Amino acid sequence: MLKNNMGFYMNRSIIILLLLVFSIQAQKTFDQKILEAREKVFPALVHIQPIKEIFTSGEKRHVQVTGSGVIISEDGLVVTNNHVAEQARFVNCTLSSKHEVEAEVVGLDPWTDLAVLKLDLKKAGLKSVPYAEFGDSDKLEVGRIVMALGSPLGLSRSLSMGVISSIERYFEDVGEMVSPFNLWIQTDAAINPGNSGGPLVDLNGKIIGINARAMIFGENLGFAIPSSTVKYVIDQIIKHGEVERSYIGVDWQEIKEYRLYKNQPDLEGVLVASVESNSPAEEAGIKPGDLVTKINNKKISALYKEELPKIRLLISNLPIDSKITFETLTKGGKKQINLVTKKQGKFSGNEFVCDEWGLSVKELTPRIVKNFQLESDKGVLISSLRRGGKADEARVRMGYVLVSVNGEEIKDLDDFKEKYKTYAENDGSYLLFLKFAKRNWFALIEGESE
Amino acid sequence: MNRSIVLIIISILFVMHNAWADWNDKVKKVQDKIVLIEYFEQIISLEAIVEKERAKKQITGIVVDDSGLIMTSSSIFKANLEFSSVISMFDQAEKPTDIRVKFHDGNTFPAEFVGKDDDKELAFIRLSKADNIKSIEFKEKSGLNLGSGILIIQHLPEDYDYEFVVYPRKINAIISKPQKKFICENNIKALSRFGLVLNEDGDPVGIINSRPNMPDLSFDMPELDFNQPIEIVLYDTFSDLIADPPIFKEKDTARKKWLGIYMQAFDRKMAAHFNNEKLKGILVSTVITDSPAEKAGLLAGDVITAIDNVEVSAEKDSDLEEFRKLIREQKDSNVIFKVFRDLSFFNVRVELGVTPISQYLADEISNETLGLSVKELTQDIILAKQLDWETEGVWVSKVERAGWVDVAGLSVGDLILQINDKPVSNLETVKECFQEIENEKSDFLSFFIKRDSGTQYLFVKTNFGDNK
Repeated sequence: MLKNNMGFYMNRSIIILLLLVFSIQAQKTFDQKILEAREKVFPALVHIQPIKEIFTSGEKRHVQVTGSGVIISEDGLVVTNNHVAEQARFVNCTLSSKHEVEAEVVGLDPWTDLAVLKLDLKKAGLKSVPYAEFGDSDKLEVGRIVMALGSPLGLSRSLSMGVISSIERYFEDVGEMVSPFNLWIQTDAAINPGNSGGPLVDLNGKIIGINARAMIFGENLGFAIPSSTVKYVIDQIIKHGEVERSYIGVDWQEIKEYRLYKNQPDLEGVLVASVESNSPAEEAGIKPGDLVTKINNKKISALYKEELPKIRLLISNLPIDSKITFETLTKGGKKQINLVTKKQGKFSGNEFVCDEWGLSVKELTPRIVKNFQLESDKGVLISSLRRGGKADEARVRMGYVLVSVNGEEIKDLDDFKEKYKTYAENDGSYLLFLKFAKRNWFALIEGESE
Repeated sequence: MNRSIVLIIISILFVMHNAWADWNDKVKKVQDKIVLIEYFEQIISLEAIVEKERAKKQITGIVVDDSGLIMTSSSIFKANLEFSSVISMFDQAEKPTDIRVKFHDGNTFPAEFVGKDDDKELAFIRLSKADNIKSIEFKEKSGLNLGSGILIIQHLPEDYDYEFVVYPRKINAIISKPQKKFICENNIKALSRFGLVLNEDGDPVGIINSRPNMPDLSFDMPELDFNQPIEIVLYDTFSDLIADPPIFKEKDTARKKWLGIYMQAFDRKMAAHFNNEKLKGILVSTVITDSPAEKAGLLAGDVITAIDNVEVSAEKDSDLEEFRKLIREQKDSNVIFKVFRDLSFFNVRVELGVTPISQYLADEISNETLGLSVKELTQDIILAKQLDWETEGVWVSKVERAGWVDVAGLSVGDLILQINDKPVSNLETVKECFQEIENEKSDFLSFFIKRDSGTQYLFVKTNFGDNK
């Protein structure tokens, strides 16, 4: 009895002991796992401090910003965010080893907010650098543990941890914040300004995303661009210096409610919400309200908003000048529509300072033409003014579009740059014809001698 | 010595007493013609289809005709009735209601809204019954000059029981354009910005009537802008209005003449650039599509130098108001413009039109079931939304909070292009669509709209089932 009892007690304590050992071991492995994962990425972490060239008050000025990045190849290719590297004239990087290395911008992609830099290893006296590897963002699960690495608020070489909160967060475009091709990874790992461009890493030490956004006023709502998108974009940038995308000029809309309205619960396809003027889609006769069911004989459907990026990628990833066939359901019944894609226009244009006039002008990109609801893409946009300068005195304002000077039409930025050379050399008075909203403005720029 | 000091003191006292007596006498002569107008103003909400709330307000008025005509500031009905480039969504579109006029002797009489002139910022109401009403008699020649003394009479706010407040001022500045205004310093918190002005002899010579520059930012609290100078408007600027007061008839309200351009001042430097240093005129910067100006063939860049042989010019922005006034108040709609274009002059006959209505006069229909109101498209909305001038259609003017269309995502300002795939170009088609919706009672509706630069579909879930 006693023995038996003893035995029972023995057994129990052994089990408890064993459990304890196991749990300690488990804890140790978890801790170790984090450290091991960290070790795989930490040496590849980069603290980026670009000097940006910005146009303000009619002048070119410089500002320094801070961001993060991660090295993805032995020879020093670095991935970061477009919003970290855009407009950079000089990029200074500090590696995990505290080496300071200069870098140049290989290419930018504002549509996905990604950029590729190349470290100047030769100049820094380095032969190779440690790099991190990509994981597969298509296999992610909500609840998985992840770590965010980077320089939040400039505090370099920081690590924060959390879980994946969502894997298909979709954001509509708001102003400069666009991401038509992204579904974001949402995480509660703390992400602050400065984390931008840093890697989101799984417990295997693989990059599963590039951190890019956080919600102001939200707590622990960070968003990363999935590695599958990152890999595609990097590949394109390395090959072409940019991501070439096909464009047709259609805004898509999901059909969840359209199905209900049509009372056709099995309807498949994607709805045309808007067709841009002078676009391939308009020329081909595609109209808002058309339901596109097949693209190049492949069935497509977007029931929810989250499925729209996929549809957009289907078209944008085609080579430029591709012939595509849409199968559509229009009011007139089934219809086949053929169209040819165009190259998607620039996201943001170049700028140019007119020192004598005290203003800077910007290229009119298709996005500006659309957002400003301009009638034509001819002219240049006034992007900044020097207070008290000649243009300011003539009451030229930011956001006006310069259409002609002394009756001479301005075609685009290059045309204007060419003409401005003569304007600046010849001291005369110039009558600028500008447009804003639905109105015009005449501004007289006076010569020095008058 | 002593005696003369005493004399001086006595005479000072006498003068002071006299001054007091003087004020009293002057006020007594006019006090029964200065009235307190009480009225109700609709409180605007873009989130409710049926306006339920209204606010009681007070303002000073002056009896200007024995028939019971009372003049006050146009702030009694703030909405600009005619097309202009400035629009405020929050002015009330309804005229003031339940007007009561309180006289100095305490008697109160009902009154009706008559009409208003937005250029002169004056409005008129009329007593429903006018027995034994004595109106104020303005003096045609004010005799006011820089430094002249005046007496201003207004009401105090509610805290002081709307008592008269009387204060002397001196003319500190004279503004000549676009209408002559006399400027005085201000430090009185009166009920409103409207009041009567007497000259040194106690004769009524004009009114004060300054609307705040930013009507929506001061929230009708005079204390926020009481440091703005007072503007005195003389009798001759509004005598014609008293003789022939504007009459508000909703959409049929008589409107002023319209040319349909935006313009700029044309200064000496511009003239030099145009190779004609002596050239004076008005620079046309924009010609509105389908406007009288476009029909007459005017172009951006033209310089208008004369109208019916009367020279016009604007060296600075404030001068443009004068030209605007000249056009708006033309008696004859047929005028000849002298225009400078491509280094030469030519004459052009212009058939002036009538100023288009603002959105406040536009027809509106509401549908309480769906929870929205729509208005016909007016030029001010076209301008604000940067649509093509020729655009036809209706726009969403109100959306009931948490109503059917609100839940579907429709917003105030959206332009409705189609309802249930049926093109919508005017209120008539909307009415038909609403009728069909009520008849068919479908579970889902489709609205095709334009918002900003793009179009989109909104699908509205209905709840007709609940009402069955």
